[in-house]
Amino acid sequence: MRRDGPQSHAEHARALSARVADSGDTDRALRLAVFERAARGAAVPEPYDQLVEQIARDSARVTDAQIAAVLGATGSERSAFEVILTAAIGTGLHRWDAAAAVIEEALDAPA
Amino acid sequence: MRLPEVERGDTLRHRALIAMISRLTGIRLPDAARVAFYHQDFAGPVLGAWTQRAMRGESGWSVYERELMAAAVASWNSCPFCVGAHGAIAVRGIDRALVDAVLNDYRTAPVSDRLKAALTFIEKVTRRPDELTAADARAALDAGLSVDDLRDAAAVASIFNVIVRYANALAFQIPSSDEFDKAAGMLLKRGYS
Repeated sequence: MRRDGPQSHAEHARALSARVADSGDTDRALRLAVFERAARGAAVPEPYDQLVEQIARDSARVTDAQIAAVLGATGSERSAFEVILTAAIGTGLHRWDAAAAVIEEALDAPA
Repeated sequence: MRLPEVERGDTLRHRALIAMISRLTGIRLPDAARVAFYHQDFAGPVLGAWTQRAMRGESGWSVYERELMAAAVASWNSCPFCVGAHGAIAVRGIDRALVDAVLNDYRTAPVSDRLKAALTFIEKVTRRPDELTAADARAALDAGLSVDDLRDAAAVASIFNVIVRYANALAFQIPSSDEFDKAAGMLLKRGYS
């Protein structure tokens, strides 16, 4: 069995999470809250919550108005982009964490 | 695209690159590539590196099987851009009728038990991650996947659960079939990072 080593998926996932936390123009606390909300954490202030929930639960139904509201609140396209990506990444990494955990659990279970 | 600055490029250099690539390839550079150019101080390059590892790195899955998994995740998330983009790559290595059958309903598609088990697992990862259990992982392992196969499939699913969401949120422009095909060639040649 190949062991996790440099460039493993787990390491990539951790690097992605760290990059979201530690880079960007937006307020770090907002990014972390958006990230957690996307992974089914506590609600964040509007207009962010509506967009984050829409991205996480049914991204095909995101509306122009939801994007415009966050663009208005952040004041720049770079910041709005960060909110969108953070929500998407939080949702994806929630899935990675869940999958990785059950894989490890399956490996640890007695045969 | 909903953020015009992402579409046109955030620096003179990026705008020039977008224009040049579009000219050289004869197609409008797809929005996924424009996102990769944008605000590279943020998470894009790190996501790109993981995508490259998952989609083109050493794996028990072929490149085309991984692209098919990505297209399947896109279909479960109603992302026509990603279904088109990754389906167009998958058909370069897997019979088109089979790709269509998998995207229509993998449960009845004539694929190997191993691939079907991977798709079963990643569908649950996509749709109901909070309901995943060790039994789901064990079922995939018992169907013949190695642990690395399962982790690789989970990584593809997780990454594309990210990508489809920003593709939808930004309202990516949907290329024509010819454009998807040309872009597929570029992605096969250049990869994701």
